[in-house]
Amino acid sequence: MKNIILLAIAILLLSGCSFKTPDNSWQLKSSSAFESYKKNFLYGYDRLASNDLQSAVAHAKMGADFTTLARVYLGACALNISVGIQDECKNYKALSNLVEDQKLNAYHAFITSSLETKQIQHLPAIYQKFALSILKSDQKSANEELIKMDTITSQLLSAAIIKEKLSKTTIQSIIKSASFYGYKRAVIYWLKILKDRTTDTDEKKIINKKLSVLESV
Amino acid sequence: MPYSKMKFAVGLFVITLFLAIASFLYLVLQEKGTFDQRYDYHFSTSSANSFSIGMPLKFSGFNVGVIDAIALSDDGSVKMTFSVSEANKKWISEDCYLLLKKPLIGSPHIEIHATIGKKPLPPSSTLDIKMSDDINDMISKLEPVVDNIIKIISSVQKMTSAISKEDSDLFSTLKNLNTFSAKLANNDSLLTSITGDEASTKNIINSLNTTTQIMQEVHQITTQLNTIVANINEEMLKPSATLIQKLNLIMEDVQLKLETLDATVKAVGSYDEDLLHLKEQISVGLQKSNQIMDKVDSLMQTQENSEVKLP
Repeated sequence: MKNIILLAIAILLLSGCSFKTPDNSWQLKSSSAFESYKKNFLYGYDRLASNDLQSAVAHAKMGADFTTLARVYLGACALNISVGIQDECKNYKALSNLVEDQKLNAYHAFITSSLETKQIQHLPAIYQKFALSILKSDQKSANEELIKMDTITSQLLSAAIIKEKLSKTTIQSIIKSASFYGYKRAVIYWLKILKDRTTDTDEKKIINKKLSVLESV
Repeated sequence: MPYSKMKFAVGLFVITLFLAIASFLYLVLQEKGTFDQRYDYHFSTSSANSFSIGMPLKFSGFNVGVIDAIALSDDGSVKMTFSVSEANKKWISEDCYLLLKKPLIGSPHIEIHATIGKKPLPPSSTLDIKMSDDINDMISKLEPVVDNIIKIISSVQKMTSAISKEDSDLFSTLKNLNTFSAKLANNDSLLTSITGDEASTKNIINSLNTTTQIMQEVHQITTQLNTIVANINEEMLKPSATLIQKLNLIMEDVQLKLETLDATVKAVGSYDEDLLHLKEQISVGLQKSNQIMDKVDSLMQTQENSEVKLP
């Protein structure tokens, strides 16, 4: 027992001594704050989300890294679009000429539905096949690629970009995924889309009831 | 310790203690002047009243001697003997005399009056003594004043008795004045005798009658005016007064509330400062806790996580 305690103390001391704050901690903090923002935003925790976004922006500015700052602004814009909030990405546009990053430009074009074929290669890998399907106007393939995506936020964003062309099954799948992650804001948005698509009155009533319960909390 | 040695030690201690006490007493008595040589002097008085053995003799307010003996002589006088110490012997000099002071408040004492620079008297000399009695002195000074007051009182008494007589001049004058005023009131011939003209007398009487009528009318007007004023008082002033009183009450209430509000505003002002301070403290605390959280986060983060991941 004595040996175990001594060992634990020694490990704690060693780990304490070996620990060192990284020099680019601002970048890590900005990234961490943005990850937190994504979750809190989709959970519907507006106050926490706002605080996280401010923190992400503040830390990005601390390093005077405009690429990181532009990514934060663009990410925030993408999240807004993913839950149906109209966003023209003004913050990103104001910085885009300072950054000149093809990847970011492609991403911006993707989320604003102005993507060109030559930009597909600069998109994140997860979106490339999906984007190609859209440009080819292959709705079935687009729906399939969307379902295949293993990141929920990517699914939500992609779905929002082609919401008019989504099948009811895909919408229900998205609602199920969002519900699994606890992303209340996304669930509410997609329930509204589903309600508009549904012609069945009983189903509409059920969706309305679900919405009233979710929105009342 | 053997018993014999203990007895010796106790005996030695007792003797030492006794010697110490004796030395202490001797020193105290010597300091008090008990062993000093004293010099006797005498004085004679007609009575031993106000004197006693041990009575102090003072010079310039200090006790310099004390009466040691009082004896009745064959001729009926009282012989007093007092003594002074070596140091105070110099105050008993030629032309020196004693004065017995009997103050209104406090015990009697003897004062030595001496001229500085005179040759000291030899011991056993006899000194003169004078008496000073404050009460008797005061009474003797008041006596002439009292006599004068008695004289004034008797004079006042004589004056009042003379005036109160029926045949006195004052009474005669008052009677004449009464007769004159009665005639003046009842007979206008006296007025004529003053004015010297009967027409003027009638004019004066007519004027007086007219004045009387005017006064009666003025009285009526005053009565009516009084009634009007009373009505005004009932109809207007009293309600106004009530309203003013109510207004006053309201204003007092408002003032009280304003005072309370003022205190509250001041208190809130102080709270505001406290809240600011608290806010700063919370902010600092949060920043520190954030720093700790950041350190914990950084333990789990890698360089791969440093890039902001887009949705």
